[in-house]
Amino acid sequence: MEIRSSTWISKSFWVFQKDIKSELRTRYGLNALLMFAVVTLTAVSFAVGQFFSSPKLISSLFWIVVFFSSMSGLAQVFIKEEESKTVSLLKLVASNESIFLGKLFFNLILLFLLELIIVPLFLILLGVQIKNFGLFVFVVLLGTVGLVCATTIIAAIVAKAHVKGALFAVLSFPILLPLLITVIYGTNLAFEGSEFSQGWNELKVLISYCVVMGVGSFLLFDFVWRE
Amino acid sequence: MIWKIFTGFLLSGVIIAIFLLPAPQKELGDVSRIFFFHVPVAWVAVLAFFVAMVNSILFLRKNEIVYDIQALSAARLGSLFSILALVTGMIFAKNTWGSYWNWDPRETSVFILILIYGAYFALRSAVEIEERRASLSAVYAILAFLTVPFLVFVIPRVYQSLHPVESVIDTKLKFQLPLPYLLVFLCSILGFSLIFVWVHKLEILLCKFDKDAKKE
Amino acid sequence: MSSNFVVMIVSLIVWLGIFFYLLRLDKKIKDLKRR
Repeated sequence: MEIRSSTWISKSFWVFQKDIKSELRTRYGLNALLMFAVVTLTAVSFAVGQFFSSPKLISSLFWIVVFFSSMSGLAQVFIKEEESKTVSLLKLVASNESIFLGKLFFNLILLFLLELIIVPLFLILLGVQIKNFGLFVFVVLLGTVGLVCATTIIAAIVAKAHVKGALFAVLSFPILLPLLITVIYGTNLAFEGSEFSQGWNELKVLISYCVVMGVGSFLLFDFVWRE
Repeated sequence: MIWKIFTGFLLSGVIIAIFLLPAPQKELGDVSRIFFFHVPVAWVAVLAFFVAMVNSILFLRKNEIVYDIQALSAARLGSLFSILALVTGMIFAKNTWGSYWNWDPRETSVFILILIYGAYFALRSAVEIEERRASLSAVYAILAFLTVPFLVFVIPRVYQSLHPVESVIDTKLKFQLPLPYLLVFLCSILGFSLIFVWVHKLEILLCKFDKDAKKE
Repeated sequence: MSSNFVVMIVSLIVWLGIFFYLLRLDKKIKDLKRR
């Protein structure tokens, strides 16, 4: 009897590695993400500059940039599979759960990379002060995880619908609204230097959003990739 | 059949009562009567969403296209009712607080509901293959419903830090409704729910007949 | 004739119109079912 040495977790890691390798070759996703973020930031900073330093506005702007960059760059994990017709091959090699987890981690890493580049740019160009850095890190981390948990399955839906572009944003926005509201409010608290205890409510909401969306999309992914 | 006639009488009675009883909130005057129309319509909009979600789950489980038709019909009715809720809410807001839109919790929730319905229809129009369209929209409906509890908890808390306006009026009306108003209110909710069930069933039957006619 | 009364009559007419339209749809479907 054959001993299965590859569990589904290692399979998902394999999918993740495959996506990273193909991404490093073309850099399509990262370019899409960075392009939007840098252009927006540059435009705003050039036009308004330091006058824009109200923390509320900057926290909204940050998440607007992250959201729309995701809309332009996160759907391609699944769309490129559909376009290059590698879907059936992928399904032969790995189970649906592994595919989903692998691509989710890929999107997560992509978005983290974007934020690593964007946050210093924000600090430099818009002159905002992050008074409670720990809270900021937690909010951004949890917000990113939540965003990716919710949008990965929507990316799969959009890929199956064979319609690119606006559909991804149209479908994601209502789903992401609770996350966006909480996370903008949370980063605003972090900018203004509130204590951890004040931001704890927001963190609770973010954690539960990540859990609910993560588990929900994990269970529903099967039905999207059924045929 | 009887319940349909009952609905007819019920809602006629409700309409008469709404206008013959003195206005529920004397300070606001006649415009507060819209409360008997606005709240039940908003309630039915949420109920329709729930029905759509349940049908989506049933479709994914049993894979029978009937459930997809029922989900679509519920979504169509739900979007109509939420638009009605939005409009009546705006009329009330204009007359009470002076502006049509304020981004307070209730208004925002109805707006998000309309966004969800819009996204649902956008998704459906993007897919042509029937089975795939059904499974994709079912998944989306369930996913959207998962965010609803968050909306209920997140928005009011965040908004309270800005300005609590509507909650005052709503709690006043709810907890201090004397018996005749309470009765009219409950009958109104019941009547509108019955309309929803009736039209929903009608639409499903019409869809079935369309399909049978197409097969022939 | 207060405006209240007028609005009430109008809404009653609208509602009864919708109601009888729904009843008519019902009958049409019953006929289709028999065929």
